[in-house]
Amino acid sequence: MEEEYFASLEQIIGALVYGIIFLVLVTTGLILFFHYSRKKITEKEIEKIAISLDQKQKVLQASIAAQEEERKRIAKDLHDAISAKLNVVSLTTHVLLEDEGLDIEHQNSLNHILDVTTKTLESSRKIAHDLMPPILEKFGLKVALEELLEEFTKSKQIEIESNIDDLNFLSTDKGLHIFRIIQELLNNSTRHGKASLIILEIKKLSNEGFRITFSDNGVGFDFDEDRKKPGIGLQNIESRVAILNGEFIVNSKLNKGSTFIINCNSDE
Amino acid sequence: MNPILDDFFEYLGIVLLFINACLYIWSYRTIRGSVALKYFSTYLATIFIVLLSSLLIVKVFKVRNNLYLSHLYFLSQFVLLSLFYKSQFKKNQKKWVNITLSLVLLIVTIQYINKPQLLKKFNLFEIFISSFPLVVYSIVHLYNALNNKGKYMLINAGVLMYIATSTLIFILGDYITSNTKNHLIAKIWFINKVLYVGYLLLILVEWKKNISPLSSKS
Repeated sequence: MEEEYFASLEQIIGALVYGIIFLVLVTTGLILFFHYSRKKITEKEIEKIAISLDQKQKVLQASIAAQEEERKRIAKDLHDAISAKLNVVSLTTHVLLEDEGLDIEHQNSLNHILDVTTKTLESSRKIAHDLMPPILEKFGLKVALEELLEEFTKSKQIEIESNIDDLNFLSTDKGLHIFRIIQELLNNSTRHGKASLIILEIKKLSNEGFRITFSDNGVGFDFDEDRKKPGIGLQNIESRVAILNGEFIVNSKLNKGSTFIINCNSDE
Repeated sequence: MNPILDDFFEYLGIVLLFINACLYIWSYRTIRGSVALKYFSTYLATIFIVLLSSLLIVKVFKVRNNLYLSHLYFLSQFVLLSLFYKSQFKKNQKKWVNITLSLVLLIVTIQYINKPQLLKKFNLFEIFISSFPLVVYSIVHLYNALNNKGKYMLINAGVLMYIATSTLIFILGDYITSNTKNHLIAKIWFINKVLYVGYLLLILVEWKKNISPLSSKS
């Protein structure tokens, strides 16, 4: 009788032990299940964010491309429609001025017309030039950049040291992006940074790549703060670097000047 | 079962509980304002007092029946952990915690008024209805943590695992304690003690990783 009783007790306790083990496993399984589901969900969310960022970047790049296209068109229109016609006005005025029988008043008026036309021609040429530097298409990036730097040193109290390799393997579009980046950086340094010395180096790398190093001695800025503000142009530069398939490194501290490095390893 | 090992786990459990209670109370006093920490540190302190007094009653005062303390243990565990989970839950989940809390307490009170003799032994019904909601809460907490970085995940894992298994042990504890002479019974209590040490270790790791001022996440 007692033996029987202990046998049944042993069975119950055995069952209990297995029951406990079973419960431990089930709860562990449950916890692991939730843990891995959570991981999966987080991964999906990160993916989503990456996709939306990618899309934003694409939109920005498309808008930059559209902007360039539009600039080209305006520059062309300015040249064809306005400059050409103004040239005709200027020529005709010259012809009229040849006439000996004109009185002083008319002569003055014609001279005034000639003056205004020449000035307008000059500004329209300048605007077209700013919109789309013709020299870039005709003589390449190196010459265009040298001219740009010369313009800057001429018009502003600034010293620029440059060392530019010829990147003739780049397409005109990419050359234009680099040109715009340098233009923007120069504008930033002189306008916001109040720099007095700029060092620009463009180095050709072996495998169809290049490195642009741009540094100034201006007031510097806080990159993370300023990139959020519109109008500084850093976002624009970033997008252009992305189009170039490059890497954009900014090193700047308040009152310590700024250094920008753009690395492009292959022209793909 | 080796009695030395058995005692070792018993005292280790008490010591760990004491350490945890001190650490959590200290963190609550330094951080302040964390409702979850308030309830959880109160829970640890209460359980420590209950376990220590049940141990003292048996070992020092040689009183054999300390089972009336079990009611204090289960009910305080239920109330304080419910409040702890409530502080972590969303609005409509909080409402359910309130309903469950008042319902369970009402039912248990009615039961004891009707049958006061139940106070002297394990009350299976009480164990069940005060533990099962906690298991549900911990699963709900896991569910809430699915799409964000959950807080107190290690504590939650410990609660889920320990409460679920210990409930099974305590429910059969009634049967087991009525046959205390059998050596096989010690095995079950030993498993309970090991699981309890595991639970307390998880709470300690949680403190070290996420609550301690030295933790990297702060």
